[in-house]
Amino acid sequence: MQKKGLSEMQKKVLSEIDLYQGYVSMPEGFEINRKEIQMSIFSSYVKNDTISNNPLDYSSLDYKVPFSRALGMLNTYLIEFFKIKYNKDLINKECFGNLYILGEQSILRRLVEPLDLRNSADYTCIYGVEVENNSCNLIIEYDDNRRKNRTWAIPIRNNYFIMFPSIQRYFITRNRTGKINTILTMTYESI
Amino acid sequence: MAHFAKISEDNIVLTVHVLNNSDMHNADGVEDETVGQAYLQQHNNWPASLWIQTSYNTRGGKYYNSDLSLGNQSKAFRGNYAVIGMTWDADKNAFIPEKPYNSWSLNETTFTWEAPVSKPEQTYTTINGIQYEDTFTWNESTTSWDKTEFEIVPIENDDLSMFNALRV
Repeated sequence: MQKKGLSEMQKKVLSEIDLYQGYVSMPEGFEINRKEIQMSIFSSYVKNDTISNNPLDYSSLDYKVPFSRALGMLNTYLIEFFKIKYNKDLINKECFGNLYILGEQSILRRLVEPLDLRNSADYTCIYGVEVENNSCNLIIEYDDNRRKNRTWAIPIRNNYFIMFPSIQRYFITRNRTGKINTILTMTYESI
Repeated sequence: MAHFAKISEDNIVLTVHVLNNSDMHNADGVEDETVGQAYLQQHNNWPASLWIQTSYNTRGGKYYNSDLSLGNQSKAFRGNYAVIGMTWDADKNAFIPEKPYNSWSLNETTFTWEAPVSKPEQTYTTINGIQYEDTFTWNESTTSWDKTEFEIVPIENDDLSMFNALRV
């Protein structure tokens, strides 16, 4: 039946680009041991244990992060709090670490496989393992209808996560300090 | 089997873990919640004080046997079996579901939320000789129950709601 007046006009959101961010707030005495994660990434760096052995591959500088207590705690926190707050069920898919020295920045990338979208991740999570203050930002590209290639910048901080749809392209700006920035990336499937 | 709810620091149930009874035995071989909490803290990296034992067979303040018949009510434990999103109330010693409407109040015997006006008696609508149950939904703006009579709605040619739902 046709409605009258303003109620005739309706809005439906079919899709959204949802960003989530915040500090990982654990109970006192149970904080994420970021040093443990950092050491795992350093260890893979020393052994050159990368996700891909092909130097031309996007993942050639993505270092493996073996499972550890700290990584498990971080993963559990994100999955459980997402369920409570946003009613989203997440499953961890991939995990890798990156190291950025002075002046180094990441390549522009997205963590979905265009030829295998069915098995690709839904969300990408960037977590600051050991990052100097104000040293780098995460830049996420997005489209707003015909306004293409817009960007959204979020500073990367220690113990701070940023989650966004894996279909978005992103990069991490150059490291402006003399210290090495250690950044963890995890991908999630939403079921 | 024992069940423990993992709660956040603001007392929201995050998940529920199952524990072997033997993992919560104290030195005398008696089940002890604090032993279970210590075990879970060690193996799940979450403070012992944020693991609260819950009863799988307790719902609405009553204890049910596995065949869903009413059981020994002395075994009723902490109001409700903890479910993700429920709130743990240490003062009331119970897990409490989310409040569905502002006007509803907590029954502190059953630990369930109750409407200020009780739900009307069940009514039925008969269509082509078949009896269907009418549904009642709470209307918070009028603080009363709205009756929705059962009706069979023909799908119109331009109604795409079913098609759009299937695309999800």
